Amino acid sequence: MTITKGDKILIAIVLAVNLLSIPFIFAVQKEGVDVIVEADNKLIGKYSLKKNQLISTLGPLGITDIEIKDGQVRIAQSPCLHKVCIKMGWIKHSGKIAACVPNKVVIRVSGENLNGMDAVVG
Amino acid sequence: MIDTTQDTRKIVYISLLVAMSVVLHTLEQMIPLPSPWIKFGISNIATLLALVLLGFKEAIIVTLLRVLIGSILFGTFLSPTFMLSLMGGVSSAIVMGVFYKFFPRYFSLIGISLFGAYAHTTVVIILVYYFIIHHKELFYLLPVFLFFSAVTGIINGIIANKLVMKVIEEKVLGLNLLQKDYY
Repeated sequence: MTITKGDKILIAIVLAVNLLSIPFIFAVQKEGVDVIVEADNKLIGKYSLKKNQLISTLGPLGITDIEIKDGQVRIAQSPCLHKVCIKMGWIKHSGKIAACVPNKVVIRVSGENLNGMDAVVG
Repeated sequence: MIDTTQDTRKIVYISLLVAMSVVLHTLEQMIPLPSPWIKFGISNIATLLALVLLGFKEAIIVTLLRVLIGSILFGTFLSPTFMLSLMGGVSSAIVMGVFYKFFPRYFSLIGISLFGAYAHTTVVIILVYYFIIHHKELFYLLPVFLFFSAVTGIINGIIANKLVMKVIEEKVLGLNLLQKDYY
């Protein structure tokens, strides 16, 4: 089976749509102001990114440590199996999320530029 | 008699594809990637092969068994990861089956694989949104994920194309197992 005309058209459309969506992604990359921490779908708290601190949150599996340093935030320690959340590393732009799915801990950076987004709490 | 041989052959081919799929799935987990959210999805090649060489039902069986065995190997059986993998895998297999059945002449396996990859990514993101992370910001990442899934989908499609050609050239399968309107 070889590449068909339909394939080429499809690939062209997909690439075009992807290229067009690039500015849209960067449009929301604004520096964050606060970090919102949630565990088990409940709001734990809102912390300023300007203050360096370590926050411990309790999830179903145990304690997840969240570190805030120099305007960035990351999950520093979590009792999950694959440590995917820790590998996600530092986040600082508003709207960015780091989550420890097994321990149901979600941290997200919020900024004043994203109007209305702060109202969305699951 | 002929029917039983055909059935046995089919079972053997399904098992081979499942084995191949599980091995690819395992290998994939070992490849270090910059983001844990991006996967190659190379085990999808086995689903594509099953779809073309054996049929739609067999493709679904291969996908289900791959997810099941893979999850047991990694100890994620019935965990959220398993659920995402299951729903993503099955939905992509269904989408690929539908496109393969209704548009066989328009798309080669590259197009079919691309549709499957998109279905997988979209379904997984929607499920993550509804069940794990209830934040609309997640959808801002959708173009990024879709871009990577398009790239991996195209690569998988090219590999699957070549493999199917090889299987036909070498006459590995009895040709009567092949879908009629193939080529």
